[in-house]
Amino acid sequence: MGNKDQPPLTRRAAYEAGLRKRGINIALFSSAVFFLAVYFLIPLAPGWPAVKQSFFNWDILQTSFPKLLSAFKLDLLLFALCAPLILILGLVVALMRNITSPSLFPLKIVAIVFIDLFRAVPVILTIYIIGFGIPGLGLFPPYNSPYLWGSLALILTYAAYMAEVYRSGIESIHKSQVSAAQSLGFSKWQTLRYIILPQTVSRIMPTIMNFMISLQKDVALLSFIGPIEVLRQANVLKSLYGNFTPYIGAAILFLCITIPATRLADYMIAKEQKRKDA
Amino acid sequence: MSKLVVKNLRKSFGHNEVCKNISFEVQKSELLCLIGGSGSGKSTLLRCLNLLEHIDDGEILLDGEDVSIPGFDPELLRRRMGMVFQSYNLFPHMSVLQNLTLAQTKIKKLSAQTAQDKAMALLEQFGLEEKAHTYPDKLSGGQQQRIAIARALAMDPEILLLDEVTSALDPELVGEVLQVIKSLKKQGMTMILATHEMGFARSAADQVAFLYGGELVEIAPPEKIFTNPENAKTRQFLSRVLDAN
Repeated sequence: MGNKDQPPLTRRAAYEAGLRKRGINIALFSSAVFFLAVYFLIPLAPGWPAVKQSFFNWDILQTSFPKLLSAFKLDLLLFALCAPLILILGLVVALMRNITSPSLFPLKIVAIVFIDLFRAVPVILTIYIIGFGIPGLGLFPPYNSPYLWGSLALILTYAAYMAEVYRSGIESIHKSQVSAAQSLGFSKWQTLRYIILPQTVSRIMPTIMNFMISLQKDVALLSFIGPIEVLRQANVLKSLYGNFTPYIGAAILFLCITIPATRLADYMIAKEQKRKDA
Repeated sequence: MSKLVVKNLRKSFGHNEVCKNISFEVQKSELLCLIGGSGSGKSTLLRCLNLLEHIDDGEILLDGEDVSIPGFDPELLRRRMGMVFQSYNLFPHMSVLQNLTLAQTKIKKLSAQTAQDKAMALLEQFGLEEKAHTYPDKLSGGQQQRIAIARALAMDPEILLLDEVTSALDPELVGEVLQVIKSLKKQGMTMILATHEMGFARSAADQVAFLYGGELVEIAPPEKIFTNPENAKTRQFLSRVLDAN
């Protein structure tokens, strides 16, 4: 670009460059109009001063933020515990679902019921039922902890979804790969382990990333059964100050994690697409 | 004793009988070419021989041993019988070298070094040693197919099945793959090749078998098949194919 050695633009190239430039200008102008309108119009709403006071209070944000941040560490910890277990359990269930051997047929049924059940029930209900139900059996500490059973509910729900992601990924690998592996003498299990799964994982990585982003947010649902994580902490602070700004603080914390993760997922999707098109 | 004997092999997909009572024999170090139109059953026959398809009836004897009896472990057969496919089917997530070493280390339990030496020797033989660390999608079709052949050879098979290995290639790349098959023949490899390359079948094969509608119509040395076929269907097929060229 701008290199003097380059040949002059052809008429067609010059025309297309003009079109592109015009498009960029239009996009800049319309964006400016839109955001200026938002900036000036919203404060004109009759309730804006009250909303500003109760949601966007800078002093309250400053005082509540350290407490929110330390509660958010629990969210991250729960996420870090759940994520690997979900990935493993999801794979195990997917493999059980794909079983063809008659003697292992009961496992296949278990997998199908598992997937149907945990995908059908809203995650918050699962959290209530398992999170309150199992400690209710009269287990002793630490086995009556809501952290433990609430996390299990999340793990089961997400593993059910993840199992279907794995399964569709496995089915998307062309059958010729299986033929090639078998013709070399690989057993069914070896074919899966060395040929199918590695290709599956790279293919479904973008989907896995999206599920992880979703999980990162759903960890906050555990607040309903006890753990003082960031949402519950924000609730406490809200009651303390009589102001909703702590919610905004909690939202900011989630954004700090999920937006970079979303961009990473987008990048990986684009990369996978590029690989497919190559 | 014949290296491979096929007796009354039958295979159907639903009501569609794809291999109808096929019998033939292949001697050690022979090249048998299967010719015939698309859908004549060449590929299915090869897949049956490698037990990639479940056969409905018949026998497959390798060195006199029946490998088609129910309960025979197909993996044991496949270690002795390599197969190469029309669309190469290299493993895209592995480098060329890994494609050649994986089965050696996992199935034959060879050490990584031994497997790699064997792989590099084969790549050198095919003039592809500088591609060892490349991934398959960066290679031409001809290179991929030669690597697929090398991958099968790395397992030291006694018989090599080649399923239309040049059909997916650009015309200028067909020669390099046929050259490889010729050099294998010189080394004494027993091979069965399904092909549309009549010129190659005529010059290189020991036997040529013509398949039509799932039937093995005629099997004979190439001079006989190409100059004086017995069956009218063979004559018709050849005159159509050879006229087109």
